Amino acid sequence: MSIEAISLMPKNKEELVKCLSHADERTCFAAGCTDLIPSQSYLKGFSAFVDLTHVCNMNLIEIAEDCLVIGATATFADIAKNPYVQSYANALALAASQVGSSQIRNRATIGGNVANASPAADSLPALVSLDATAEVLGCDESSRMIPVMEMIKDINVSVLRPREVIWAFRIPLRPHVRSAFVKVGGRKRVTISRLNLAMSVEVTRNRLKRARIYLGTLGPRPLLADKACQVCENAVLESFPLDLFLDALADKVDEAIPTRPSRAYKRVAVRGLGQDILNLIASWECLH
Amino acid sequence: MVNIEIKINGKIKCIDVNPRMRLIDLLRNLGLTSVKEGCSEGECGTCTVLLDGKAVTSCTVLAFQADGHEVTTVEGLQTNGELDVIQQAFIENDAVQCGFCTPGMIMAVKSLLNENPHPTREDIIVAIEGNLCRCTGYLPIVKAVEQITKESVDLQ
Repeated sequence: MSIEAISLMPKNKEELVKCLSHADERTCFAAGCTDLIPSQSYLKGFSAFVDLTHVCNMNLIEIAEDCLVIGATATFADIAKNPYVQSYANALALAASQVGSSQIRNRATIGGNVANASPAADSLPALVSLDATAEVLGCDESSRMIPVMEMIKDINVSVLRPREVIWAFRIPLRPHVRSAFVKVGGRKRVTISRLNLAMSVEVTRNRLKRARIYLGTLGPRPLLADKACQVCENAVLESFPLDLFLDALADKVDEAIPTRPSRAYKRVAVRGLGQDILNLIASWECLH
Repeated sequence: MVNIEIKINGKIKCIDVNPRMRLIDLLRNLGLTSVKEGCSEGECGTCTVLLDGKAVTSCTVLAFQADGHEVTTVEGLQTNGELDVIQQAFIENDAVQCGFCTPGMIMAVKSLLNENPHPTREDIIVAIEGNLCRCTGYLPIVKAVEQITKESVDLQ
């Protein structure tokens, strides 16, 4: 039986699983379509399109046990203004608020952003810095949990198999965690990131612990700024070693893209991003 | 082909569409030519329509995805031959020059006012950030929206 005969618009998880079981490599599971339609793959053609936006509960944003759960078809507009995301995963809320235009944010989904695996994706460094895991739904209704970092195989290639879709993302709720996201592009807004930076860190009595800092656009996956994380460990906000931190970020850019022409620009830009992200972390209580 | 039921400018229509057809193509085929094709990749905003009251670029939506939803274009804004307040404010503030971006711009503003009837200047700028205009310099458009906001506050 062809997939068109099953459903092009599954309404719930059961119908979606049925679609998955009849899918093949030329079946496209689509939601926001903001990357898909302008791409060449739309023109080349799939044999069938399955719409995910009608699947109920696939766009929910909720707290479940010790996790913030974000459905794969939640739009960036929903994510940016959701109070749970702002409280527990502010890096993601900030990233979502800076994706494309308001029209794009009303359609583009977080699942699509991750599955598309663009090196310039804004949600990826934010999700990785927050230790997010993707719940991937298979055609036998089973789920496999994959850390978001491991979702990316290469530029524009995810580890999703033909009969799989991302169902949701789980972000652990960690006490005292502050997080932020900043980016720089060709213009101030409605811009694709030339460089982006996400950070999450535990802050207790202004002392930083367990920083997770990731740079986007420097490779297929977000890149851990390990030395910058080390600079943060046990540092106190009032006497933060800013120069060391910014140097560590610039060194990471040098290390990641030693021969790329954009290195000279990005090693300077990252210092500005570093200052901006620390300001957001330091002013957390004022902003929240 | 997929059979969809879609409410366009207040009227329910049952239509067979090719799953590859974009929403912009469906709307223009139905004679709703206010929906302009510009960049075809969601960058210029000239094809902006409302999907369930929210602005979207109709060039990046598949037509069948609108099944069960409500689509509004500029043609759907007039009531009893009277222009919508946004259209009127655009005229009064010279916010229209060549006019190509105007329908998309108006729908982006409509989406903003649906969600936030009293936007700040920053809110207005963010709402129209996805709509390119090469004639007006944007300021008359922002002024038009500010006029609507001011008038609605004055009425209260």
